Amino acid sequence: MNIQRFKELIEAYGTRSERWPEADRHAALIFLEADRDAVEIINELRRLDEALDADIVAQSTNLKADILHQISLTTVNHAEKNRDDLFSKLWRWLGPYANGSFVIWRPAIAACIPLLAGVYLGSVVETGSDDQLFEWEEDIYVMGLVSENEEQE
Amino acid sequence: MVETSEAALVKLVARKNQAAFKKLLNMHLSGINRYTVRMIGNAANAEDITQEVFLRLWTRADSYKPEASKLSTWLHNIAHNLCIDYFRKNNRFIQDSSEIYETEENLHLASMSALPHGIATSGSEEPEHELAKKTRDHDVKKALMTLPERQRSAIIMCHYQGVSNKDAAHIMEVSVDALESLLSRGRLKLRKLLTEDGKS
Repeated sequence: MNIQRFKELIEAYGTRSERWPEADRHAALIFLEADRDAVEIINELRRLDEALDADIVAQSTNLKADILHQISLTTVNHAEKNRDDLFSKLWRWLGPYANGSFVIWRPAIAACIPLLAGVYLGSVVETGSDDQLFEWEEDIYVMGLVSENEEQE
Repeated sequence: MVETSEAALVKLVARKNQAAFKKLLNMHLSGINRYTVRMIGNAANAEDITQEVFLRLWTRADSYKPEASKLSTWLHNIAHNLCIDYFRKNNRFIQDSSEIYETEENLHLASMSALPHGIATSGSEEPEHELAKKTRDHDVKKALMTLPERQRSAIIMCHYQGVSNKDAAHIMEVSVDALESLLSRGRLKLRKLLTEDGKS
């Protein structure tokens, strides 16, 4: 600690030692006790601290109640959101906007689901009409054979 | 240990525990409000910002890291950033003196200041030393509001709010040396203003 650093400390943090940086406080106090110029600096700059310390800020009477009211409103909104049914949640999830950003892939997936379902159904479900047609053709063929045999006889 | 219990309370707030939130509100509301009022210079707007600080505590408590900073420092960080955003939106750092602290008390003070020394308006007489003190308060507030917002924030945090130089430097995203430069320049301006007015 020297007079230059001491002066920098007081000009930045003021004349009260409790406001001095912890790392410099002890050395500055020792320096102050030993150096007359340091005492002069303190005396010169003390008045500004006294003026600043005299400033008061009035307390608001309603602020706490207002904040607690806001909190209770957000709690109600949060509970209401949780009460949404599964369909509403799914519907919101499939929308193009999530958390303020545009996500096109979600509605795109929603649009493709019926298409994919149709393709899947078409590949695995047997309609039965081809078999029925095949049976009719077979019956007609057999009837034709029977008719030919009868004619031959 | 206060810090341990504060960290525990914040964890409860993250789980939407209102009782824990009220305790933290009681501990920090007046301090944060004093910061915003001195920064903004308008009590109504400052209280809106203070409200927003504690709403963010409620909604973002899970983002607080006790190992990184004290809760007071975290709250001051939010308040500082909100004040800076306010100034950017409003595009000014020097308040018109007519807007400074427009409370009933200061309007009364302004009317008293215009009167001959020692004469009161209708209503109770105000002792001279009370009037002198209120006049000094008003001058200090005006002087603070003439500072650039970064110098003002540095002085408010270090002089009034008890924020350490390292925490204040971290909040303002500057080095400690840069913070000391801001403090020195701000205090020099305040000394000139208050000394020129003959009020300090």
